Amino acid sequence: MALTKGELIAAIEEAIGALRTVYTDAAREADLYEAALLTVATEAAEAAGGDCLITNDGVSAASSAVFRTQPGNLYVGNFTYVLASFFGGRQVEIHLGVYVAGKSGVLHECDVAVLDQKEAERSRVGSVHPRSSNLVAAVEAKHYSASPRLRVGREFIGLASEMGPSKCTLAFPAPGGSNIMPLLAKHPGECFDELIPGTPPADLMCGHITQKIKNWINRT
Amino acid sequence: MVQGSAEVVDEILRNLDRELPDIAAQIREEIARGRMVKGSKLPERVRQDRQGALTAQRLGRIGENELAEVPYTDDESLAILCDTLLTLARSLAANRRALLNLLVDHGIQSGHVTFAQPDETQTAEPTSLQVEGETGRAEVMFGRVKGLLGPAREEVGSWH
Repeated sequence: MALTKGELIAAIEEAIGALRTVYTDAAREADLYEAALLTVATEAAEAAGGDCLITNDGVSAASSAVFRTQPGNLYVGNFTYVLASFFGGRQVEIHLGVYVAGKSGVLHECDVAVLDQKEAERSRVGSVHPRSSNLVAAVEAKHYSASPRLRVGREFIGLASEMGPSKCTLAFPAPGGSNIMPLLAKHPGECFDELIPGTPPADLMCGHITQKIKNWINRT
Repeated sequence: MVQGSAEVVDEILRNLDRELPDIAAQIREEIARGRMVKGSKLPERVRQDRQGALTAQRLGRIGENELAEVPYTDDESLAILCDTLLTLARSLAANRRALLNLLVDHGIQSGHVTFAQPDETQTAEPTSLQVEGETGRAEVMFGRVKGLLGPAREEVGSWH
């Protein structure tokens, strides 16, 4: 039976009320989305054969997790990251919200950065920023529930050209609209729309990052 | 077709402006943008109107691969609104579940995640999240939102 206008409004307003019991603000939900994408990257490292340690010091397992709310320098603070160790001794680190130096020498934020562990260690020892040449994969997270505007796509293309287009991935929960998707389809950086953890697009991105890590292992 | 869907969208967006302003902004932007289509995919009536205007000024024909935007219908706008809220609800629950699984799978006993500013000169206090409790609440919320919006969504139909 068809809903009346009043019933429809009441149902949607009740849904908004339910959302408000969990949703606090956009910044916190964006942080949580980035952290959720870190879990996808961790699964990717495991699928590539990695043994993953969630750590704050690179040696022992973290007793609790501390993530950045804003982009920061990899070498400052004791933030949580993932250390993935592979057969043969190769290692990558997966960080949230760190600056990486692009091809031009300018710093860019990587929401999720998969880095050669030696590059991350070099950053900590020398208090210098990791370089994009030793970035294995990066994810730009946009917690949009409706399709992002075209500008998001343009900014991603700029970021990808700095970091290495094939290393970069854009992810957001909404279905991509008729403007941003054709733009990104013509560029080598991958875009995964409708990316919500536990859904097929998350599996696709996981497989994509797995392959990036495997290629890196085989190349080096 | 939903009777009065334009009024429903207007009223809900006014409510969202108060309750979830950033989500209201995303929906308004998406609706205002319209759908981009190729000339060959323009709805017939729209195509005739636009072609008529071009012809009147001798500006040629609309090519098959030319790009144009078509406004969303009122029902499509309502569908976008419902889909956005559903996507948000699903994402809030799934993000927390993914984080909880990471903590459990890797033996992080505290079950807490803290978000802190990287720069020590910043004044904002770190915020801590009890992930298990948050996940449970979010999943209950998602079930509720799905139950409430599902019937509305079915009535509106697809906008893709």
